Amino acid sequence: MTAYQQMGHHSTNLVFDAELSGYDGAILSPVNEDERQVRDLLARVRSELPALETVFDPQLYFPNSNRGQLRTWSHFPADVDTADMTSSAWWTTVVESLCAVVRSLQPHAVCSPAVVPRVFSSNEPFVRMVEVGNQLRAALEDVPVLQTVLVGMDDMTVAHRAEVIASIVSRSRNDRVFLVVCSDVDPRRELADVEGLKGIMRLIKFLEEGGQKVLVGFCSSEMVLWKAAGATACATGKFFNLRRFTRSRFEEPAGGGGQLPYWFEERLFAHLRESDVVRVERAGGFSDATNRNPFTAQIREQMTASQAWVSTGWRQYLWWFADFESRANLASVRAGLRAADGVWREFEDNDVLMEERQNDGAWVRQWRRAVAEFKSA
Amino acid sequence: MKPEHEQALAQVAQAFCKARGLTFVCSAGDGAFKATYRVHGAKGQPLAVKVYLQGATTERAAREVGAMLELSKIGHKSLPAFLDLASFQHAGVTFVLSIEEFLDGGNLTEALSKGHLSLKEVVVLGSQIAEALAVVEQQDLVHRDIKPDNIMFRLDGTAVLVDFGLVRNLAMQSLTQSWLPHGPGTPFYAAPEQLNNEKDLIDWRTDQFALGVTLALAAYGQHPYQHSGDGPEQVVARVAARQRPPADLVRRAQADGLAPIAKMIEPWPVGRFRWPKDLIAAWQTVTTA
Repeated sequence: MTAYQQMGHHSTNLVFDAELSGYDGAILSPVNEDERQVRDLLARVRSELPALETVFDPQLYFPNSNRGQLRTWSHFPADVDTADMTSSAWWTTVVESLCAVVRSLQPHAVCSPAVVPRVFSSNEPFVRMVEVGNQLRAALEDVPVLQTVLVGMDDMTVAHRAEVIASIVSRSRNDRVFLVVCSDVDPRRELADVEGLKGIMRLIKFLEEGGQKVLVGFCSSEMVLWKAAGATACATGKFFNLRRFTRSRFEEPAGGGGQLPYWFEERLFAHLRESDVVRVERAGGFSDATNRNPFTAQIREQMTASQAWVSTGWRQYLWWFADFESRANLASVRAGLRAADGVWREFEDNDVLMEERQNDGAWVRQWRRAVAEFKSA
Repeated sequence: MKPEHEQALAQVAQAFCKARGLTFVCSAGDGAFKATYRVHGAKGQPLAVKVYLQGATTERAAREVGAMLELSKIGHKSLPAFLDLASFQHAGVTFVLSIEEFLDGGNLTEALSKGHLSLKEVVVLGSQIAEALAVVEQQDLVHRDIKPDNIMFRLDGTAVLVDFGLVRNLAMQSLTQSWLPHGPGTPFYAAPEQLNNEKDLIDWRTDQFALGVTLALAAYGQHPYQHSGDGPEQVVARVAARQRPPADLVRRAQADGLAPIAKMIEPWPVGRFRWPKDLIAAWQTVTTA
């Protein structure tokens, strides 16, 4: 049972937050920080948190030379906007450059580079991901490689797609898989396509049963499903209470924009706005997990004092993620979702309606179905 | 092979033996693209000389010879010893010939014509061919035609995997046309991915499946996907459709200590043993149980 923090914009402080010590690892991103900053971070981790596993994610997902600090990194190809990414020679160059970065930074592990394919329905992208992963492993004998596997939510609805992809991925020489679910779901909306969710759950199950430890990256609360499927580990970041792994996630909003604060409530498996927190408290209160969460009390104080609590909301969510990750299994997830479904039904019957129209718990029913059908398959 | 080809290749083999100081003994069988002859070496040791047919099947010959050259660099008791590769001119035509050890103990088809193998013999056979597959996999090769005909024995009983005429090198582009309904191989023993020509799914686990079928046949005299009343065509159709094998045979294999067979014949590669070392370990556990 292992949770990883996915590093993003200004998230270094979260890694060293004593209240967030439930995380066993950090996934380092070259998007928001340059090589020197990441090197400094690694030095600090080695000094202050020696047990924390550091994993470097090269972040080639959506090649675009205009993404944050990426172009300043030596592993990031200069020709990324014009290169033929089906060329083995091009990938060999990427792998060689990445090896140099990894040897220099010395993280505990590295994710193999992979590009989000335009379409997922062909097997070719998966064959390529595995080839590149094997190439990196062969070149980096002393640093463990996580085999990156990018799957499309829609593609996973296809019958037996999980078996096909798992059969290809299990050919990787890397015994750990970094699984990333790509979707076009809107920000703040849960992944809720039952067939797609089941497909991903089955993929996780096949890989784990075949001896590959799966770390699911870029998770939000749907982490509960991946844990129910048997994933060894899940990763999240402070923004994943709102955002998903979509193309748009990597395109920063032009006007910046203020974020609303969210409170995560396990009793509903939902992110709540401030007015909803009050509503839910009046309608029966919060889960034990929420009451144990050290950031819950802080948010209450900030709400009482009419202070902004966006960053405390991130922490409250991150604490819950690591806490639930450590106790989640198929049985506990089933029980938790069944209870949450009941609470949402009760709310519906009693006209307890959340501020956001779509925050109605509909996904909990879908998740229950996904788990039930996954279990019976 | 056409009789005129047989005769011509025998003449090539005889001429080659004469030139090399070998003693031609007799024909030892032929396939679609080669003929094998039993000969004696200078010290009287039995050897096999293979003469590859020229023309349309040169590609298969090249595959086999290439694979044998790769495998001979490592060598294993369950792979034939590859002694030499020669280019030989006869009647103005250049032929490719190979010299290998001669396997005197017959093949598995002949052994099974006398009855099933004992459970202990099946375990030994499974272990030995699994070790051969480990060497094959290490070279990125897939045999693609594992079946009783292609498992031979030394006089001491050691099983040897032979005939690499359909071998595929995974590091090279596939030569099988994507539009073909089936990939190459013997359908009765082939894995679903081979029957369905799903090239992206072909790897050493495809061989593992065929070995599992072969072992089930050796132990119980039937294909593990065979339901009562099924003919070979129905069995092949069941495999291609990835139906589950009958539960009673799987249960029987598990009860008999042949549990690895059940995993070897899983319809999807991911359900089988991931690496040869895992398969070898499974058979070793059975052996010691």
